[in-house]
Amino acid sequence: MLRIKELTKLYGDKRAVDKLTLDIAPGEIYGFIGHNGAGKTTTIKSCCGILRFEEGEIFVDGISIKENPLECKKMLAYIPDNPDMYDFLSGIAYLNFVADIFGVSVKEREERIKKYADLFELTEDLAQPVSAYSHGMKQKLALIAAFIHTPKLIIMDEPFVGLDPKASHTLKGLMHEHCDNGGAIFFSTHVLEVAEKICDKIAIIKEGKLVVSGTMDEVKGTSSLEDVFLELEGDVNV
Amino acid sequence: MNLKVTSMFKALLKTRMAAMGAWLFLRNNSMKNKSHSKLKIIGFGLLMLYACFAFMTMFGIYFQQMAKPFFSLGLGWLYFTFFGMTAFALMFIGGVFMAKSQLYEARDNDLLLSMPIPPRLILASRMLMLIIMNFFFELLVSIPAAIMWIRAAQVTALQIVSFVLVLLALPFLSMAVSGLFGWLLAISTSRIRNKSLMTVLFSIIFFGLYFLLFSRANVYIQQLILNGKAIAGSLGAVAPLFWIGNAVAEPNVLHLVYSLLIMLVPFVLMYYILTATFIKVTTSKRGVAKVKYEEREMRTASPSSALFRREMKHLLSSPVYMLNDGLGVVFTAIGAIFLIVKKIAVLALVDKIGYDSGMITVVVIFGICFLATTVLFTAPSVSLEGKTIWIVKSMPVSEKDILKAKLNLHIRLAAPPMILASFAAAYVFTPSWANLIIMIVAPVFYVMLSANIGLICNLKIPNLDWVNETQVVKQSISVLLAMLFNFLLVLIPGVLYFALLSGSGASLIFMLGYTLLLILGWRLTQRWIATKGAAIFQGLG
Repeated sequence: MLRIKELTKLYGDKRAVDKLTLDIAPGEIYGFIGHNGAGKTTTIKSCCGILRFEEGEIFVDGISIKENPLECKKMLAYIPDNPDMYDFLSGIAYLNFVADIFGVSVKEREERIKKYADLFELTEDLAQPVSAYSHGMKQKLALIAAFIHTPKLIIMDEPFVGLDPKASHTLKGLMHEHCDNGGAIFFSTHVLEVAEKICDKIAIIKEGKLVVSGTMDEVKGTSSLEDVFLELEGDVNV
Repeated sequence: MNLKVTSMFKALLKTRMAAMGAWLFLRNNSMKNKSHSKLKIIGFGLLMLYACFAFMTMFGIYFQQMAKPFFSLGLGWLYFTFFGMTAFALMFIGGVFMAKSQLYEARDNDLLLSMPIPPRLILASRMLMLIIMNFFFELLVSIPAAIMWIRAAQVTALQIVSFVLVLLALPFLSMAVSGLFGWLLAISTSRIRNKSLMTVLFSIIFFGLYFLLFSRANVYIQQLILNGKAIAGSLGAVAPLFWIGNAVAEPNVLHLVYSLLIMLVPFVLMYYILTATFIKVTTSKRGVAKVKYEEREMRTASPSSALFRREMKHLLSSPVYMLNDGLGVVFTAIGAIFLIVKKIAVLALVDKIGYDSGMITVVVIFGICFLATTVLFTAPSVSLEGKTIWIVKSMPVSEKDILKAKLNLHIRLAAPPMILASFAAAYVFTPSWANLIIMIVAPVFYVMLSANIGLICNLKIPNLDWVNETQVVKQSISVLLAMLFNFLLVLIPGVLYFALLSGSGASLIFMLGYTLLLILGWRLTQRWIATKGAAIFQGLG
């Protein structure tokens, strides 16, 4: 579903991402782990067509994001780490805007808004302006907006930050449901316990370079993910 | 302890200065090229100099009219009273919204209050920056006032000392009053649902009063010159105004002391009252009642109309955007109505000047285009995406469509009043068919070209790192540049026509040529936006 091939992104002379290669198959929840500034957000933004990159290729369902970004974007949804949204719109107006852009029919958008807003307990607040939303509420709105157009691929940057425990639980359920229906999820996180519980595969990145990737068992074996992560960090530091 | 307080205050001032410096010297992420940024700083500096020069010239003419008659009639005090009132008005209008946002709604209030900094220091640092800004506004009035004073009268050292003392103290009074009004604005707009409507209303009242005062300034000055002594007597009863004027003119030491007290005491009082209530004022949430969402039938829209509606909703939600970049729309509509209502007077004036029909067409077209120079919706529109740019960039819409929505907003709002003004002019002047067509087509293409120019300026100099929309809507270099280019598009051909072709009978050909150039300019800029502009937008964020 998502193929990152030899991705290199430069900021001036600095290599933010260095020849990164990953493959995320349909039905997979793929965790992306790394310390602050490791290159996770840069990779994610490149996958969504937000950032241009110097070398390598990214394919969404076989389509190159470089050559056909619009077709790729039709298939994916992106949720950033800090969901800055349009303060001048109400929650419902924002969802309608997203639905209009993705061409979601009236019937489908009504059903989906009801379903996901109820699940995230945001229905009552949809008439409120986004400017009145807390960080968590904005995060929930971004999640509803992502699910509203039934994307094949969902890319999330730290999706659990700011969510209350119930919403986190709901999100985990939706992630599984999405992948059970043939979709794929690629997300970054610092919460290793969550990654350990829900990811089918993970990749650990350090200073823009891939340190390790594979299924959960392949990466951590019998240890905890936290131990593996700290050990790998240490190895690289040494 | 004192040392700690001093170092805290210094640190706060440094932060304020850095924020101001970042704005003044356009430091942001989009400026990675050093030589490029130097060029922009120079350009910005030149523009600022031009703006200062324009203001000072305006005030220079204003004081020149007053200086000689006042000083020769022994009404020097009235001159300085007028100086004080004008400087105060400029500082107040320039500072009241800034006081509201800086003192009561600053985004870093919570952060600073969580630190071991006494609230009075936070307040003092913010006030000091506002006072410095007020002082800058005051200089725009005081420099021409001083020049005209020196030219018209004998100046003593004592008078200069008094003048400087008044000059230094007046920003404190303005700070106190704008602080009070800013507080009232913050309270009243925080309690109502439609904040933008209230703010626009307040702003229109301010602007209305300001324009009313200055549109009648000449009448007042004439009356004062003719009946100076009588007015002096009655104004003398309004003691503080008299003291301020007399403190410099005489110079009367007692009146100087009174004047300084009048200017400084309200500031000290406001400072202490605000210090005591600062935490309460900045942290209390006077939110509006929550509206519960009720399901309604939804409607679909095409992606292009969704993007257009997004632009429109952004504009309507932002009073600062509407007022700073859309006043030309209102001016043009008012101008059209004025033309129809005052048809007889206008025709009489034209008859008196002796313009032929060709010249009338030229004047109408340049007049309408001139009113449109202040319509600048596209000039900050890219910057306004700010931190939310990820939304459109992650959506399946092309950069071309995003930019097109911005242009459409500008054209759809600016063109109708232009066309209305053209028809109003046609009703009044009854031009020939050829002149009528040019009268309609030229302003429409001017609007379309100016929309493109604004967008290009912003694509070339974007700023996505703003904290407050005012930074990009009112104070950005792209807005200043767009305004300058729009102005030159009227000024250069206008000067050329009146210098070379006026009365030559070639008006129609000249305007046809102007219209064709506008169309050509529009086509070229349109192509640039669709190719290079789209590529620049793709690289943002």
